[in-house]
Amino acid sequence: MAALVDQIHSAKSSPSAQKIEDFLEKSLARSKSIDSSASTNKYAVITEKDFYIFAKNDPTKLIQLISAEILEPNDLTFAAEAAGTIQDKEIAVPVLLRLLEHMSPVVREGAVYGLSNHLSQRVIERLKEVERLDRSPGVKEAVREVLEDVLPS
Amino acid sequence: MSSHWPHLNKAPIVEALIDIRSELPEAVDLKTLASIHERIRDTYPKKNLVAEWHQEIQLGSAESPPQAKEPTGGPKGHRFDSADGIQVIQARLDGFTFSRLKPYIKWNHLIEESKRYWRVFCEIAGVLKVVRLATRFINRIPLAMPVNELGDWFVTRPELAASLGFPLSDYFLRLVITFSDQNTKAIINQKPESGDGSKSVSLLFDIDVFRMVSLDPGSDQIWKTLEELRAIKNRIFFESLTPQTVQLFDPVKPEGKDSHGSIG
Repeated sequence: MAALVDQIHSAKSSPSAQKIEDFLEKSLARSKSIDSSASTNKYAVITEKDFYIFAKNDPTKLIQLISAEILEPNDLTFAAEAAGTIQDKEIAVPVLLRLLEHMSPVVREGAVYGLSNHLSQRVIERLKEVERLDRSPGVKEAVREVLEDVLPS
Repeated sequence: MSSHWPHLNKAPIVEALIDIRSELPEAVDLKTLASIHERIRDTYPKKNLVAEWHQEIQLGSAESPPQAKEPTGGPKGHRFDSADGIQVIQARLDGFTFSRLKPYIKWNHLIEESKRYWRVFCEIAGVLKVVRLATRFINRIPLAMPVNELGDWFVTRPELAASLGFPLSDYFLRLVITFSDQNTKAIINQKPESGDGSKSVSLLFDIDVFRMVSLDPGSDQIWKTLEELRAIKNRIFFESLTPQTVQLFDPVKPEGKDSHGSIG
């Protein structure tokens, strides 16, 4: 079918080819509308890469996902890092600051790395506080790594 | 349920599923569905979000290369996997699916597990109505190479004009059947998969039978309908294979036993 479509595209000037192309497109659309039942392969498990797609194409959806408390810590840490790539800091920063209080250190680490793209004075002060008070060595180390370029050694 | 089809000791099923599409109250969201995990965590410890993506790709031409638009779509629900990864429950905003992966046990097991977790799904999601019922069996059928005549193995198959005499190296066959009630359909997909080079080839043979319905979530008609769909699935399976192919799966006479893939 794909080869046939390619052939038709190579003969665009022909009115009859255009008709066949329309027919094929309608047939394909009709075929797709007959929805198959949900095998385990039909829907993709959301991975780290998907969070970055959300951050780029639909940041509000990513923030909703993070805020909905439905992600497991291992996913939430990636989601937090991806949220850091959202350009609009008004959207990204509040949710990442909230994640600094998450019970899982893995998530707090993700939030620290997410905030590394939004290092305003307020964020820096909050991260310094985390470095002092957080119980997780991993989180403290993440803060030091993020702040090493902006603070005098 | 008995049938006249043989029972297969070595059924080629790689996934068997029961799919119940349903309408949920508007207030139900991903967080509501996530809470199902609290009820099933002991047997289904793995939880993942599942999503559906769409991406349009415009065909290219001599002047312009193909262009892919940004993907759209997003989360549809949650997937809960058993510790051994053999059983999977999907709780989505559009319904519920129970899957049993290889090794398949039997139809009764598929139904009983589906019933058990369907009840949990209904309780938590507050299902309003069942709108579509399906059973789907995905089979992987191994054939020794060389496969000179596909017709020796499959009755349902693509066929080139005999006069062409060309060897067939690959294909994708998709058939959609609409039954006389207009609400029941079957989708048959058949496709060779790459085997271990020259020794063998596997054919995916996927039978998906579904019916559009309007049923109460507690109705017994759900399970009666699924039995009917299963009978159609069995008929498609056995009548699509030649006796030689059925022999590969160690068939035994039915004598009141289940058919395709069950062990009694």
